[in-house]
Amino acid sequence: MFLSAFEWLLGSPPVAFERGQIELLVPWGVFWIAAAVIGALVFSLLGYRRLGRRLGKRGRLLLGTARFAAIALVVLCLLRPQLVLSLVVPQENVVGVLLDDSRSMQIADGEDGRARSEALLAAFPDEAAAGRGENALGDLLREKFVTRLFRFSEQTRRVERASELGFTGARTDLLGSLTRVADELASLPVAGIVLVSDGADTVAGGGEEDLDQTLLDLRTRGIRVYPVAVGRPEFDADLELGAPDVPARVLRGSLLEIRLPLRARGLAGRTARVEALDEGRIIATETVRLSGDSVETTVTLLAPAEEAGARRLRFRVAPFAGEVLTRNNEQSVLMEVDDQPLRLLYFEGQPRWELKFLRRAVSGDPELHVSCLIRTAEGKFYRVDVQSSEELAGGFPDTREELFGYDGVILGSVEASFFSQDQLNMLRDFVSQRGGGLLTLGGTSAFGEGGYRDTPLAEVLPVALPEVAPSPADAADRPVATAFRELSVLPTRAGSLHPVARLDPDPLANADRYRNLPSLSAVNRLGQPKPGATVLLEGLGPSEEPEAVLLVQRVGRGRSASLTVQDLWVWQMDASVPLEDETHEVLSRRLLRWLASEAPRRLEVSATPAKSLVGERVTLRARVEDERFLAVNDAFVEAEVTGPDGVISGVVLRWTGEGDGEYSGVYVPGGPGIHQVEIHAGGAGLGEESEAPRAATLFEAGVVEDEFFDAEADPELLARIAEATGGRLFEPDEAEALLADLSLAESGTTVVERRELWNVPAVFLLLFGLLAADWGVRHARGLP
Amino acid sequence: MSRRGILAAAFVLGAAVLFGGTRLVRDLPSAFQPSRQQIREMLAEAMREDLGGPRFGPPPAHDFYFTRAAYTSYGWRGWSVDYPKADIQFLIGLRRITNLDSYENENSVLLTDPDLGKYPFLYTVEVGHMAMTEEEVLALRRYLHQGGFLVVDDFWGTAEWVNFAHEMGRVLPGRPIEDIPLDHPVFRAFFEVDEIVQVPNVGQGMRGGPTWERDGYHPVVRGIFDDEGRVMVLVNWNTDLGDAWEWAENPYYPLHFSNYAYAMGINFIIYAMAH
Repeated sequence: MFLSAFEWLLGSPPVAFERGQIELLVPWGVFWIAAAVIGALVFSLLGYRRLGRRLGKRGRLLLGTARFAAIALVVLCLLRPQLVLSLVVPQENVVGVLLDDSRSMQIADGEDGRARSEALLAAFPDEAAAGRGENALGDLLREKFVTRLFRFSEQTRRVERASELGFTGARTDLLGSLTRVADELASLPVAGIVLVSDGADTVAGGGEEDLDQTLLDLRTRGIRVYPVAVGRPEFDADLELGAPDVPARVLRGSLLEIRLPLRARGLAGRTARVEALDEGRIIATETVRLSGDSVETTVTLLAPAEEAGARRLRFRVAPFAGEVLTRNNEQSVLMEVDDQPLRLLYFEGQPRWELKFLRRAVSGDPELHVSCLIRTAEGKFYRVDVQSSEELAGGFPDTREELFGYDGVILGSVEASFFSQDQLNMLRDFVSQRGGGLLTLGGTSAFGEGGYRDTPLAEVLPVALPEVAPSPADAADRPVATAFRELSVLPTRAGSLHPVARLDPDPLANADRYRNLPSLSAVNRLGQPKPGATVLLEGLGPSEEPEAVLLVQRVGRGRSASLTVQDLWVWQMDASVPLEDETHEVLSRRLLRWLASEAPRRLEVSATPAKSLVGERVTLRARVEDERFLAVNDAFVEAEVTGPDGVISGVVLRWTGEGDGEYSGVYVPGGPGIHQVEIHAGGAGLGEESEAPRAATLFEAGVVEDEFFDAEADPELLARIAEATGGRLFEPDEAEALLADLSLAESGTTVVERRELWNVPAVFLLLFGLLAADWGVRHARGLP
Repeated sequence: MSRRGILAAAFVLGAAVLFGGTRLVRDLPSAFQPSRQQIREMLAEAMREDLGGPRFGPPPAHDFYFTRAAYTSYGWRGWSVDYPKADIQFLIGLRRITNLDSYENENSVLLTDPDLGKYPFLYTVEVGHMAMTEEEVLALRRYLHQGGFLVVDDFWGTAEWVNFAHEMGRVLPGRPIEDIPLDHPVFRAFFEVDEIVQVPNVGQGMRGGPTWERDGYHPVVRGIFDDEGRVMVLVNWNTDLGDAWEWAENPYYPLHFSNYAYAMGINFIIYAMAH
């Protein structure tokens, strides 16, 4: 409405004024123009001088201004203002038309259940059927331009007509397609690119930099993009599961923590039951109450990882009635369940029951191997569960190679002064650089009482150490506890959800499990939890404030946990604990697994995308480190990819040159199914060939369902593309406006058109209005 | 243990025990040798106390308590033989030699005490006269299955063995009592022990008489093992480690018996605290 009124009044649409230039075709010299303006001013002021008394000051000003404006307008018209436009020459310019061929176009979210693809096909009817839809965008474009049609999804291909599209593309690569089309048309006079899409890009992800760079590139080439948005930006009712967040590798027997994003729209108040399945067997369920505001919530599922090897976990929510899209109610993820045991080192400064019962708790866990070192007297050590006669033979490790060979370290009650400065630095680096897990236990020689406050180790603890005096020594030189207190231990809110402390899925039942356990004791005075730490268990003792009992934190590449009590074993031995109660065992195993399971290995490998298309490039990336966990850039890294048919192909990975220790190679899957990748690295610093690090990962070809996730149309992205390239966003029924815009091209083959502005209706109406005002005022005051 | 090691340990032990033990014994009231019945009454009375009141028992802040298991027996012999002097003298050596944070005094507990689980190491003697009640049997079974460790000592000859084996059959039915070979970790947890010595009672030891009693001519170290192969009950038969601790300060008691007894006792504790 506004646009057509504007065009009627000024003879051209607003975009013409935006793009064109206004020039004056001046017939006289500047002197005469100035004289005419001054004359007009003098005339308008003097004209009312005689009537000054009857008019008053305000009236005189009003009439004078109106008359001056009218005369000035006439003078302006005499200067012959013109709008200078550059218009494309019909049929001499090319318009690239990109048609979205991805599966998301099949979504029937239009009026009367029309699919997005139908809106596209209606806008681009085949030439044979031309004339049927008179205002079809395709027809209008063909009248004025040479059109080049491309279909795009994960790839971009020339097509002759839109009916060739099958809408089966597994991905939408908006930016890549724009770049490729711009390249293809580079040598032609291009008026612009029309992009018909729902805007649901599934490749760029959140790559803001890529987006900006591509758009800037198009702009410098002078190519305007005119997106035509199809599809609805908001579904009426839909539930969508996001990509599950699981570790790529999990230890067999662990409780796997899965974070599953869930988004629902228009289903407020309904409850959804999320199921996790492993090979058709339900391994976990969780019920969530939905809010209807499309806010993403995360469902946390805890599922046991029981069988080793490549696992494909599926997640599903039964569809609700009226859902626009049901294929996004399912998700799947690939992961590797590992049965390579974790190696931990437990060091106690003195014999303590904690060590005995921790060993017993993990003895039934084949994935945990805890080597124990106990200082039984000054300078005398007792080794238990060591794997070779050399292991820990020299006491606590004093080289990085030896210490970093473990995935986790448990420090019991041992004073800081036992360690050399280098060992303390190593322990810190073990967590932050090597990525191992460190568990510190309470005791008379632990934490501040053990003198750790100003050591490098304090940096990686999840709890601050206040200034406390070291434990005093008794007659036999034993440290004596000065702050002994008993604590009733309960899980925190975070603990009820954490895979370590969650003994029962129901938070109330979980708290009850802990409430029924006997009190534990602590002897250390601790400060506040560090800002990034999570308190999983807390204890109520003599003071009113609960104290943190179990804290965890991520530090650098690794993990750190503190169990501030000194006798968790009481939960095993106390007479009030039923013999069949497994709390102590479960908690100990979970804690140690959590601590060490994500410790990086010397060789790590990943495949992206983890779900690929057949024929798509899958990048294998590896990170190689030596025994000191320092990156190696001159290793020989080779991958063996075993396809679903059992055929093995070799891929050599080369140093990328971008990051230390980072290698990559490309594999192109030839058929659908799960592909297993085994990788090994050799070379200097990586040990003998038999000990050379090995790693494995998985990817699956031919199952990409991305198009049905995050599938609501994204006009915002399209608008951003338009704005950044100088184009505009249109709806499918705005074909003529789009054409008008396209015709005003600056690139391509153009002619200059000058449009007179003195004869537009707006000038006449303005002049008429000014004179009518002048006459009206005078008439009202009874003036001549 | 090498000869030099034995000599060095003997010197340290002898000095420690002579100094500490005599002083302690001197400090003890001469009549302080409570009978089994007296101890039981004291413990029962303490347990009857209101929970808000004072608790009978040692201070709670230590890692280790050398704890005597008090059980029901027939006849005059029972768990309290050599108690508490043997325990206290052993603790002096234990605290000198290891860095274990151990409570320095004796500690005894009824098998049926709800606090039994606080002491995962139990020592008891004269099990040849053991006659546990059903409650004691259940409590001990539960204790051992939870991870508790029991050392028995000072019983001699076939008759006493039969009684002990019968009692253990009640506690851990179906679990045999087997010889512990000398290469077992319990013999080298702290000291290297490579022979099993018969430690005589104090009278025979000081007189230089025979080391055996009744028909117990050969000392034996046996054990009852759990499903994982760890020792749950460690049995010293035909030997009396307790007397060697108790009289270690006596110049007439042969030092090599005490050395052996200390080495064995410390090994048992270090093993129990690690396995």
